[in-house]
Amino acid sequence: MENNDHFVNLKHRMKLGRIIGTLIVLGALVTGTLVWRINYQHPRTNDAMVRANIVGIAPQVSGRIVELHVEDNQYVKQGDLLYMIDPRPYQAKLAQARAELLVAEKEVDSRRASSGSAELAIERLEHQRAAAEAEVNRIEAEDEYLHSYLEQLKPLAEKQYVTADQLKQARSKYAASRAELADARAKELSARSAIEEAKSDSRRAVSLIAQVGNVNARIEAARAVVAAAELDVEYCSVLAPFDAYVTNLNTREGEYARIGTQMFALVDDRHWYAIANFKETYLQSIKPGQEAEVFLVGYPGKRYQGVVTGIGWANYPDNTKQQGVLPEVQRTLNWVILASRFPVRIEIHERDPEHPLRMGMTAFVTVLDRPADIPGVFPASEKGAGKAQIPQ
Amino acid sequence: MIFMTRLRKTAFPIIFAVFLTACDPMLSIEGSFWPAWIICILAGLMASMVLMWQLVRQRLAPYLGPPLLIVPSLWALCTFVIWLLFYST
Repeated sequence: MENNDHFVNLKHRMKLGRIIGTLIVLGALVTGTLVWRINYQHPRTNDAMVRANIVGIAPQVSGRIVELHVEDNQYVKQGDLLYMIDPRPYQAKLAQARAELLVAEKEVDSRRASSGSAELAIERLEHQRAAAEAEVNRIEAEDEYLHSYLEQLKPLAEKQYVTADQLKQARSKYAASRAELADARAKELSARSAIEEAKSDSRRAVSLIAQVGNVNARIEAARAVVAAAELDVEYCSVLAPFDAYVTNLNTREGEYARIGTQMFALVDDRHWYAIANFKETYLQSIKPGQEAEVFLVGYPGKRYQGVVTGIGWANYPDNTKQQGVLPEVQRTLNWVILASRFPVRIEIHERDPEHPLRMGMTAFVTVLDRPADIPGVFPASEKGAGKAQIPQ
Repeated sequence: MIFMTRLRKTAFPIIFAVFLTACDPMLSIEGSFWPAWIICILAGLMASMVLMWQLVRQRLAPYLGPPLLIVPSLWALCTFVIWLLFYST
């Protein structure tokens, strides 16, 4: 009886063991498939970091810093005064430029007046030329009369109707008239050339005014110098271009700021991103506009919602190098090739004053297979036409 | 039945006590961050050892099937289940 019970118990145990063994193997296969599927549908990576746009703040004019209104790590609003460069040299330059503008305006007025007198001189010379022309005409008429008179006297003199003295007198008058005519013509020519010279002077005077249509080039040039000087004075006050955090500020008043040399940086607080480097094998499952979950190791238990705004278009594989102008191709026998990684940009819309975002934080990113439902955040267009934006 | 009761009393509380509070996708140990899959593999190993111990105690181990198949499968099952429970979302 006891043996029979033992046998039944053993049989029962064998049956239960077989079932459990089968369930273990099947369960491993099913759960393994499920894990693979979830991993593929929701790509995740721990190769990610938080980042923001960094703008180096460099002055547009050189000079000594006389006021520094910010501290390192301070939050600044758009338009806040960051620092001021000694404006006095630039104010003096502005005053000089304004004075030069006045000088230019007066100079142009004076040249306009000279051009007007040149016009008057031309008019006067025109009158002189007209008078000389009239004189030539008068002398020509008189000359013609004297010539015909002489021609009439000649046959009469041959017949002794007029004396030789009368003929000689007529010849002399005619010769004097010819000389007078030559003189008058010379005067007329002289008047013409004087007019040409006066016109040339007038043209030179007009070009010196430098008027083109309604614009006077001299005055415009002087105005441009004033505008540039005004800008330089404006550039002495360096303002925050957007809401940001001051970072890496290691100087104070008295520092000589050089044009174009960055003094510190601003961390743009308008847009925060997680840059997640995903293996190329997962890129098929990632599309701009998809929702993403960002976990920061610095804030355990906290998860940020994000949206994929774009996937990097270019990557520089380390096996492409160049030696001089030739490609450097290494001899290799790599059987196992590692997948390239591409940076995926995820905009983090959520803000939490208790858990502020800082660039460089280690992140863990999971891209979910559903579109983000965050109002006001738009993914960058794959064709490059758009840009992720949050309405300001 | 006795097996399930014992399992509930021993293995589950241990697993939950260790992992229920640590569902973040990384385990931070003094500034070094360990990925979820390492945690799952180690936890899966421990869980499978406890389960196998229970199966041995219940004298079911010899009837499960080839140990070379069953033991890695149990380990894999425990690993995947832990991942699905705590890290899949």
